[in-house]
This record gives sequence, C-alpha cells and structure tokens, in this order.
Amino acid sequence: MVRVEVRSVDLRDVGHGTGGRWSGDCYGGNGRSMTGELSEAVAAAQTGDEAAFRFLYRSLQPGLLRYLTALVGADAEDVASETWLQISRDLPSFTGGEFRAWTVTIARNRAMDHLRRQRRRPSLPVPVQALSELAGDADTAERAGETIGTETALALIATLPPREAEAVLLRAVIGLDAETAGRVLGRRAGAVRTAAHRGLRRLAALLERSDVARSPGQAGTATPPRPRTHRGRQAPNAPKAEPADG
Amino acid sequence: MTFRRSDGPADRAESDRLLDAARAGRPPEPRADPLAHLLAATAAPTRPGELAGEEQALTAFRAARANPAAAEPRRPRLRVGVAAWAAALAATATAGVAFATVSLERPEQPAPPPVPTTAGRTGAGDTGSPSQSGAGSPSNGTSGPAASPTPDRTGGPGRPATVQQLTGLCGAYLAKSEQQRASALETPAFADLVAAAGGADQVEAYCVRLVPEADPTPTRSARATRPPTAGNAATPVQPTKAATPARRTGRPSQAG
Repeated sequence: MVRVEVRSVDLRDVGHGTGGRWSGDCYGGNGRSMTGELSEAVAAAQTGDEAAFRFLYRSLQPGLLRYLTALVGADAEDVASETWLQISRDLPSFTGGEFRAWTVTIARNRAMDHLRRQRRRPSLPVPVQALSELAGDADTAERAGETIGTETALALIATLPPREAEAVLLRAVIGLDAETAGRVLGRRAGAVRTAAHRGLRRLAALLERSDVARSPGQAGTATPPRPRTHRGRQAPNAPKAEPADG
Repeated sequence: MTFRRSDGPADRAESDRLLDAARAGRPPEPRADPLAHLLAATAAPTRPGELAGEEQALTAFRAARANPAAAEPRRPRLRVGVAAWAAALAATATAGVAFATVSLERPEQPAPPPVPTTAGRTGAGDTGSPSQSGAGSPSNGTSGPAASPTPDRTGGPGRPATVQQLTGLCGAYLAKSEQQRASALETPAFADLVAAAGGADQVEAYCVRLVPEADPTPTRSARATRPPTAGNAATPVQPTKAATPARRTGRPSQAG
C-alpha cells in the first residue's frame, strides 16, 4: 500500500491539555464540518478562550507554514510568527467570512513585506536540487511504499511562476476553493482555476522529466535490480495507458 | 504524437478534482498519478516541528487579550507571569525594531558614504543590488576592497560598535553580492558586525532587521550618483542597470 507520508504528531502529546472541546485532529480534512468547527473556535477565541486559539493554531499553522515556505523559503518560520502575532492582535476585528482566507491574507501580506525587504532573493530553494532530491525520494518511496515528501513537493511547486504556485498552494495546501482563493489574490475565480491548472500541468511535466532523467543518469549508486522500477525506463517507447484516475 | 506517461490534468475540471482531493486530505490511490501524490504530500498531516511556534503564538494571544481585557481581574498571579512572558517576548521581538527606529532617526547616516568615496561606494552599490543577475560580475572584484573605507568609521576595534556603526556595516554588507558576503565577514572590518549579530550566519537576518530599507537605499543613492560616474567608470554597469528594474518590477506585480 502506498501511504501519504504520515509522520504526523500525536497532538495530544504536544499540547498541554487543551481540554476536551477543541481536541479534534486539526490540519487536513478541510471539509465543511471542519469549517464549521473552525468558525466555532474563532468565536470562542474572540472571547479569550485559549484552548480555542490553540486549536486554531494547530489547524492553520501547518498550511500557513507550507504556503510561506514556498513563498519565502527558509524564513517561513519567522514570517509565520509575525503572522500569528498579527492574527492575535486583529482577531477581535475579524467579523466573519472565511477565517482561513483571512489568516492566509495576513500571511501573504507579511510574506510580501518580507520579500520587499530583501528584494535580491528571487524566491525559492534551488529547483535543480529539488529535482534530484525528488528523484532520490521517489526511489526510496517506491521501496518503502511511500511517496514524495512534503518538502520536496513544496520545493517543486515553488519553482512554478508565482501566480500558478500561489493558486496551487491556496487550493491544495490552505484548502480554499477557487472563489475564496480568488478573493485572497484579488483575482477572479476563473483566473485562479486557470493558473492552478497551468501549474499542475507544469508540475506533471516536471515530474515526468525528473522521472525520465533519473533512469539513464543513475549509474553511480548501488541500486537493487533495475527492472523492478517500472517507471521511467521504458516510458518513452512504451506508450501504455496507465490508469491515471482513481 | 508522443504519448507521455503523465501529461498532467487534461482540463481545468480535472485539475479542480485533483486539488479538491488534496484539500480534503484524501490519500491518493496507490497507482494514482505522481501529481496526485505530490499534491497529497503538500497537504499531508501535521509534521513534527510545524507546531514549534505554538507557545509563542499563545503568548501573543494572551498579550493581546491582556490589553483590552484589563478590567478582567481573575488569575492575578498568572497574569504577572504572562506579563513577564510578554515583556520578554516583546523585548526580543522589538529589539530589531528599536534598532531600526534609532537608525531611522538618523537618516543621514547611510547617506555619507557616497559623498566621500563616491567611486568605491557606487561600485559596491551597483554590484550589490543585482547580485542575482550575475551580469555585474565583471565589476565585482572592486567592491571587496571598497569595504575597507567602512571600518574607518567604526573607530578603534576594541570599542563596542554603536548602532550607527553597525548600521553602516550592515549597509556595506547588504550592498555586496552573495558571493562576496561570506568572505567579507571573515575580514576584521566586519568583526564587530559578526559579534553583534551573534555569528556569521546570523548577520544577514540581523542586518535586514537593523536596516529594513537597506536594499532600496544603496540602489537609490547609487542611481542618484550614477550620472556623473556612469560615463567614465562604469560602462559594464549598463546591463546590470537594466536588470535591476526588470527583476524588481517582475516580482511584486506578479505577486501582488
């Protein structure tokens, strides 16, 4: 079985007794019930409920941090701290709407400020390195029954043109729908969908390229029997239609 | 026509489906497209370390509550602790701001460098700002020695550097290209700065905090002084000049 890199923390160990009310699992699962829970927690946090605020932090921080990692690289943690500082401060003034969008807007503004402060940095980690890591990752993953790591995935997304990267991140990582993501970015939902689609196509091409590049270029390492890796090698001349859908 | 194993999603609807699956946290099928796995990885459950700032955020939350809720008299002992926490946090968090404020109050401090050593300074500014472009590399060699005027202003090496001196050093440091920065920090000229920042690897972050406008400032002053110098000294500057605005406008307009 392939699993999505599950290295999650047991949140009950991390916290210092959040009390029963806000103890659900937090990041991930951005479904409707999740949104309802979130707005309950927002309301409680606005009245000063610390456990509720902690819940908000745990629900939103992973996504924010990953989004920021793609935007500002290694400084993501600092920018995330600034973001939470402002969230804490401005929480009373939040008047409803999509809280996720509100927080990610704050994070985005902080990131833009940060980038403005250090203009020389284009954006992100080295794409080439990310790609070679990806290749290694994919190999290991195949053996271990896992997939690409989060870091690698973010590094790859970060190589996209900014509009496309942001559209993909806001949709997949933050969990916004296209309309809400459009509001955050100041664009129409259709433009966000198009940007995300282009980004995904580009990512698919990147994955393809790293996959193909991997098989001829991998002479050095002592890998287990090559034929077993059924990706890459025969791909160019064996146009077999794999079930791409689920 | 070439068939590729994964062409990516065929249309926007398929992209939407992929993104929605990732956002809902549904794990992809074992044989699913690599793209689906990649997206799933970006939305993977919380990983160790991602919540490292939790207590800091909580502290900020309490501090923010403490102000408007001053009427609330409960848990006085805890609030003393909270106040101490908040004070400590505020002290660390705003130290940079305080420095920055001090440096802002003396706006002429970064300005003097161009005046006495126009050639050397301008050179440093030019090569520094487009450090990413690489086009400025021919003239890079000159700004290594160009740093030497700066330490003169720091006075004796024995004295602790003042904020103004550190600001100046930061300006000089930030004006350098990426490649030159590391080697510059090994020179005695920047020893004070390294000490103040708490290590060579901290210098960049320290300087960005200390001189928030460090990047624009040298660029602007370099521009201002360029017309006189550009004609005689810096012919190779021409391409870098073009590169700077291009890169600049590229980023914010796309992003914001």
